[in-house]
Amino acid sequence: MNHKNRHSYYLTVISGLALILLVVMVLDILFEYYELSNLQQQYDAKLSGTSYTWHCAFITDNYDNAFWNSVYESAREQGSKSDIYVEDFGKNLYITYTTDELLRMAIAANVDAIIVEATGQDSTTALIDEAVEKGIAVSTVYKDDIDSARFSFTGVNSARMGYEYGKLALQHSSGKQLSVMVLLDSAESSAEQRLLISGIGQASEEADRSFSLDTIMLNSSTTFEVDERVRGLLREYHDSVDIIICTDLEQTQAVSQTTIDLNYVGDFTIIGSYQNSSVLEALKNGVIAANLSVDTAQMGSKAVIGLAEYLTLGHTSDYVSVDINTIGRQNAVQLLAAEARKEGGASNE
Amino acid sequence: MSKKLAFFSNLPFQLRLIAIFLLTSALSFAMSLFLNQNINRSLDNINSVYTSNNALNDINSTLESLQTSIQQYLETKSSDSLNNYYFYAQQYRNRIDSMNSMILDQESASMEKNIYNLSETYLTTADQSIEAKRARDSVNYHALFNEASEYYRFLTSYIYSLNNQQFVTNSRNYHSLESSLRSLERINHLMTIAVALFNIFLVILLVGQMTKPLLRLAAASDRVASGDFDVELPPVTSSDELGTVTSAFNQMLVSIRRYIEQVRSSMEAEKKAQERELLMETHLKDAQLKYYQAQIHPHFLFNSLNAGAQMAMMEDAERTCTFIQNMAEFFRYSMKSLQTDVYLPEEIALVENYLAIMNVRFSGDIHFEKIIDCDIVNVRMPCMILQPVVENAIQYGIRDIERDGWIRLHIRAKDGFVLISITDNGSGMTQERLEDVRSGHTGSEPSEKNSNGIGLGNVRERLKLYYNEDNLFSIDSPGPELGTSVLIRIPIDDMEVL
Repeated sequence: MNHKNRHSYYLTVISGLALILLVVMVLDILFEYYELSNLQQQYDAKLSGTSYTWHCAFITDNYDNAFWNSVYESAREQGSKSDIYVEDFGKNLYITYTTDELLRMAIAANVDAIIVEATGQDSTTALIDEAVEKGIAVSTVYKDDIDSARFSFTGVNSARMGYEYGKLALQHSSGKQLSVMVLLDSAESSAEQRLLISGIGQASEEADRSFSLDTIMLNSSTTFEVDERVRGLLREYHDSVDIIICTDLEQTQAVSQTTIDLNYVGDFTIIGSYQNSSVLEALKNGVIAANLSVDTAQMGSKAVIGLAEYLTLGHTSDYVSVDINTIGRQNAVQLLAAEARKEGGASNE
Repeated sequence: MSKKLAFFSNLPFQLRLIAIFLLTSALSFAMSLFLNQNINRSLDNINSVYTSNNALNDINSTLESLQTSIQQYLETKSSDSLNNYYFYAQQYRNRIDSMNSMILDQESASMEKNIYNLSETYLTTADQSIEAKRARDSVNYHALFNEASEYYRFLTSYIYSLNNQQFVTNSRNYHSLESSLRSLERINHLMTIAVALFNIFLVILLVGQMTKPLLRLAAASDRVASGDFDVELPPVTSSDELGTVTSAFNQMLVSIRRYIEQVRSSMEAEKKAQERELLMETHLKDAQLKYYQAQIHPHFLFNSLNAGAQMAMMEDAERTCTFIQNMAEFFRYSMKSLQTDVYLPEEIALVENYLAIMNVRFSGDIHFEKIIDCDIVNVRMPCMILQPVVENAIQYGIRDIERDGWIRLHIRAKDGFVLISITDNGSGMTQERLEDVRSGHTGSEPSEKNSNGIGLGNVRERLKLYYNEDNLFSIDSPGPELGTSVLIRIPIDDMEVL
């Protein structure tokens, strides 16, 4: 290779390398700029949101359980379709407020509508009335306040729930004379409790079997108290009771766990309410015989559909019924598998 | 080359250099501008990250002051506290005006809307309680103050929660923006290098494009300087100063080449002429030498012959007189310099003299026939050409045959030549002999006794040298005893033969 050729060869190699370097740099710059734009877009997105016509305060005194989370999420989703912004009112506040306080706050904040889980207390009724008086559309969900001026209720009435509990208890036990323990939430109004008990009674009458009913009041808002009370009750009554009916998720969890802990599995039949993964496990393992569950998603969306109707048309159904689902061992297995798939998919992502 | 580059290469040199400088500068400037804009945007965003927290703190402190001023007024009913109330109420109103009052599906926006509306309710209730106090409605102002206080607690709770939430969000934003700033820094570095590289590339490309013709011209000049004029002409690719210089160089090179070619061809021609002249001289000298060897005292002989002729005429010996006159004429002609050229009729006269002499010697055995088909008066040719041919015909053709011998001279003009053919009916030649004679190896040399000493080879060479042309002399024979024929071609001008 002569001098001139070598010179042009080196020049070609250097030019080639420089070109490659330039291309790599330009690609890197494009990539970095894309990342930068994404970051800027994220920042800008945080400062904006979709605009809605109506603002609805969704009020309950217990945002943190799965039941209400599910109801709220479906309500919010339905709201976005119906031009209603459904806010889990008070959830973002550092102080935990009671339903009454949240209602006062929502009234003062001049919201367009309120979906509230009624407490059965007079003060709540008065606040619902005050809100309605100020032009706010109020509907109740899950628990009704029939004496208030609310325009609609979405949920299942306690008599029907009681009837379903009774039917399940009969399905999972034998014998003519049964000793049934019903665990009730002490926060529940006495009227609702009575309706529930009468529902259970109706089921036993229809089946021509007799229940000896014991009702136990538990304060479900404090988990430790429920645990302690359940432990005591099971120790005392595990021999004498045939069926234990739990009317909320906390009770169901506490009873199933304590039954396992105390090795009372098989001594009595547990009829539970609502589900999470530990309850589904208990169902799968036969610790819990069956569960009753209100269709929470349906409850949330139906409440908002009713509200949208009321806001646009000025009227809607006074009572919107929600489906009750029964979960047995087979359903539990399927639900757990679906949950595992969902988690697997999420972790893969 | 693309049109754009062609346009560029037609610009003057100075303008092109300025264009390159401006182009690279503009690129660097554009990059700087772009990076600065991005950095400024990021810095503005970073600066505004915690603005919302500051605003909320201000709202909260104003709210506290407002609540205190209400409480003070309700307790003391002093004008100072009332003024304070109006002042803080107005300030608070101003501050919450910047808050969102729209329904948006975004947590902080929604909280702002709640704060805004709660504040309105709070201010209304506070106003009512102040009015009730001023109206001394002690029952109502108390209840209204309690109500306002509850709203105040709600508001402080909301503001505190929103402040915390925004602090978390803002911190996250801050980190995002910080990392975006770092990305920007990297982009800055990369772009600086990339633009620098691109600028270098651009400068190399454009300067290379500018200097390429110059380098080609320099290389060509270098070769020309070292004496190589066959160098390829550098192409003229532009109409700039360099194009002008290149085309001038090319023109110069072409002129030099043409001049060299002319010198070379004239030198060659001169050399050939010299060579020819030298050769001619050699042949002439050779002929003259032979001539002088053969002719002893030609002037004495010529004078003596003339005296003999006069004597024969006085003694009435007419034939002897004619013979001696022919002899004298022959020798007179032979005395002419071989360098001079003569007219064709003179050459024919010499042949006739020679034949007359020969017929006396051979008792009139040789018949001579002359056929002239063209005007030959002005045809010039070298001297002593035809006589040696005729002599050769007698010596080798007719002398030894038993039958009557004849020689035929036939002159005609054709295609710019005068064709002189001398044909005899003598011994002829075999093909081999003919080849030898043609190649000049033998037979063409004159005999010592009966010749004027000039052979056919000499005749052929002198014709060639005189006219600088081959093939003017040819000899042919059909075979032994079939005679010989010589053809001489004399080139003529149009004026010579009419």
